[in-house]
Amino acid sequence: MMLSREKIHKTRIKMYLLALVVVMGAALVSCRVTDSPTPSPEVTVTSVEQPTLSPSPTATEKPRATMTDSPTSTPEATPTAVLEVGTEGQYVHENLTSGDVGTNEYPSSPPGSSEVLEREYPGAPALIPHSIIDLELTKDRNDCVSCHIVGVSFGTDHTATKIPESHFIDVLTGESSETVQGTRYYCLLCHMSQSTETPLR
Amino acid sequence: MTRRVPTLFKAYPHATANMHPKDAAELNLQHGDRIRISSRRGSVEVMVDIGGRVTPQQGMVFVPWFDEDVMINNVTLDAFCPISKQTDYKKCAVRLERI
Repeated sequence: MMLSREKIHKTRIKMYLLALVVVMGAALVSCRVTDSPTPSPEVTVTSVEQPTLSPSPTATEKPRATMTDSPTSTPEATPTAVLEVGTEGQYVHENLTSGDVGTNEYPSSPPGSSEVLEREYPGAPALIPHSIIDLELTKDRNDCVSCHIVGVSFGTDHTATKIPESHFIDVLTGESSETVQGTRYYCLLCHMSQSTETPLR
Repeated sequence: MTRRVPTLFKAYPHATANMHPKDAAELNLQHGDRIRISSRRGSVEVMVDIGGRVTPQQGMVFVPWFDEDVMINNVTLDAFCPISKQTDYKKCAVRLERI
């Protein structure tokens, strides 16, 4: 009984293996059959697209010719530095760089002489309307706090915006302290000055 | 939407080349000067910023890439990690010259 069962088992395994080989062979043949017609149209498509997409060699060689430094290593084989007209939606480099370059000028009025700026939305961090060039904000010294911790008034018109209660409360314990919390120490993380540039459209 | 939020645009309007004040002094550059940053692949025109907002180490220049008028990625590498395909845009050797 045991022997016959083993024999049956072996023959079953053989049958399975045979079936597997047949299936694999069929799959291979079908792959070849399906592959063979597709390459030729694909090749033609890429050969048509390539001249329109790839940058012309003369245009890419021009900037490289002006580069005289670091001649040690060879340049890349495929030039990708210059972007050309995008049929696929890439940016056109030349059109963008002809735009505004700007000056990045920030207000020069010293603290205590400028109007409070309107916030973008309620609860937004207050914007800095004055110059912060000469103010120090390091781990040892925080010049912002010296005026803003109590809301120092400059004459009758201008008053420094007082630091709100939230900046004195420890987030983890909920306890209030007399000094500004360490997590709020670096003011410029949230509060920023506004340059004199006009916003883009 | 990059640079199209008025408050954020006015906070940092244009890309700058941030460098160490000592480097700028060596090259005789001042805050606001326009320079050309060039590598073997391309070049770009930027203004110098030594105002202290961002101060990199000596010998290093940093240019942010948010500004479509300062296409700094034309200067950097197009190399990438062969395994993960992570791009290596971040650093390259450059030359600075005043315009």
